Amino acid sequence: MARPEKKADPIIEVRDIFKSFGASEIHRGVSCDVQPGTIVALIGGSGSGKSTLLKEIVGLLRPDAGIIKLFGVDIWNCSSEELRAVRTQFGMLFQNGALFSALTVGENVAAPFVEETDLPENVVRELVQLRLALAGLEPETALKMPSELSGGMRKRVALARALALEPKLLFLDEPTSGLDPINARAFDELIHTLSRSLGITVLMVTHDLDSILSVTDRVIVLDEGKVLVEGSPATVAHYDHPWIKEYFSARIER
Amino acid sequence: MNRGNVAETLKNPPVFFTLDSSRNGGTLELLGNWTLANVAALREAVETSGVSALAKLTIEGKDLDAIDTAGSLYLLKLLEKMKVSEPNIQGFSEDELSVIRLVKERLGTLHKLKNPYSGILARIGRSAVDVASTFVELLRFIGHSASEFVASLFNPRTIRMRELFVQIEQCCVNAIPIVSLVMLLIGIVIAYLFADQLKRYGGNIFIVEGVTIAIARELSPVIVAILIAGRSGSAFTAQLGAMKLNEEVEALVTLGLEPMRVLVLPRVLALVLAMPILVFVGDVVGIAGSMLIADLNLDVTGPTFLDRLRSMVSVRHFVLGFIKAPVFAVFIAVIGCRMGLNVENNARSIGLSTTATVVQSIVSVILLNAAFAVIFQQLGY
Repeated sequence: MARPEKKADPIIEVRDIFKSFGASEIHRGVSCDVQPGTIVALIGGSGSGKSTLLKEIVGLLRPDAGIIKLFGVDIWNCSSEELRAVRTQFGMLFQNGALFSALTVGENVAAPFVEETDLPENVVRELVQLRLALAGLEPETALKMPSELSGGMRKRVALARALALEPKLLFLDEPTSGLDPINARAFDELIHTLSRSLGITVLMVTHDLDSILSVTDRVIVLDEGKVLVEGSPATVAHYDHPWIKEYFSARIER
Repeated sequence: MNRGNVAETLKNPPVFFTLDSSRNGGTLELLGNWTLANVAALREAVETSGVSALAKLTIEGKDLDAIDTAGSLYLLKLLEKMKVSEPNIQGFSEDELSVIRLVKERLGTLHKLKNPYSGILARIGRSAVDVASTFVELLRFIGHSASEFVASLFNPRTIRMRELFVQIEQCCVNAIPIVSLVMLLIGIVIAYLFADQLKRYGGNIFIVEGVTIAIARELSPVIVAILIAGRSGSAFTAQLGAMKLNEEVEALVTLGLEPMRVLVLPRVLALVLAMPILVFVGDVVGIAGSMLIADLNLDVTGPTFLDRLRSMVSVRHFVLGFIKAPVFAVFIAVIGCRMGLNVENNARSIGLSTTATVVQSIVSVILLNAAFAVIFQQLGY
């Protein structure tokens, strides 16, 4: 598998993104970088364009202006083959898992192998078991249908699928939403372990203060269509801005 | 020598490891890329390697280019084959070690997946159980809705009038145009076929009995039932299925309402009332269509047609059609509602259930119609 260039170069580069839907301007010059191997949280009030930015970064929504580079490839100005190659190098975890409801869990996790590789079936089966194990699931889960799973397990299966092709970059959309605090913490720890052990870069959109304070290395705050502040969770938490103060007040004032 | 070089390298898989073993230990040297890209060849190399149990092993990682979780899996499998649990490790980078450690830790706690039952016998068994439980489920549903029906007969105030009339509008009034169009065309086509045959024998006037009896006894009830199965039966399943997915059915229960009474009964009642009306509409329009053809092709004028109809065609043919209609309606409505309430918690399920509703109700309409034909024949109607 092609490996990204070594070190120093940011794995995600976002430059002067502009985007509007009709009259409402979502992004008015968003720029930020994500360094390899870090866990970065993207936060902001509702309507601040976090999810939109995530969609633009993963190549689901074209920005009006600006450049987005993943692994050094300008994803909105490259050939479709290049885009496809980039897409096989990152994994995306959707908010509700987005598991294919017609397939079993095992087939869901196997889908990237079936589509992107020509591995024989027995190898795929072993790799699926490995992915499920990495996501903290029992082997029997492979035989279940997504509809039989609890919310926490669904997310783990979705994570196993996102990890299938050994991505170096993982996007998470609200990874802990809908989970109870215990499951949410376990999921945060899982992400943290995987990122640290496998050197995976993680960019997540989240609302969960626990996730932000416990596992992230950096926080990017979006406000009024721009990056308001960017830095370690501690720096961001003490930034002087009404929204941020209110956001972190639950934890900091204790 | 030179000639076969390229073919040789293609045929010979890349070497992933070398093993120096003596009596009391060995060194396993890892080479190249132990990554997903090479995983098929890697697995082959591990599976076919003739390694045996070793007491002590040192793993040398300095010539290893890269290892990921897939590679780690097969490294662990190789160690398992050698029955080595605590090897000495040297020459690995910290990143590589952490990947291997994570995989080892995660796999360590796992037991092997037992093969689930598969094969033809298991499949037959499973589908037999499925069919049986569907049947039991259907019986339970019919029983439940019947008891609700009887209960509401004794207490008519509990019938949800608003819901009933909404349903009557949707499955009766709104269905009249399509039923009329289809039955008009059926009437015309049947009359054409009859006309062709009758002209040869000069028995033009017999078109009245032939067409009318066919339409009133068989065609109108069956065609209308099939139309309604496709139109209302599937709608019931989709409506109730969406409500089930959205937890509206559970919400009704917690509000102290009985879904059977609020959702199912009005639909069944509405269809039972709607169906004879639609069959009547079908009769009238179908006969009108054949009258048109009788006039154009056979010179049987409208008044002659109606005169003959009144004097020669017994009203019982129409009554038989009206007897069949509500029975078809009950089956269509019950199947539609049951499949709707059976929808599972996923989006695909609604589509599957709706398809099943249409298939099951059309098949049951045709089976019932055959049963009716035999019964009426035996009774001499």
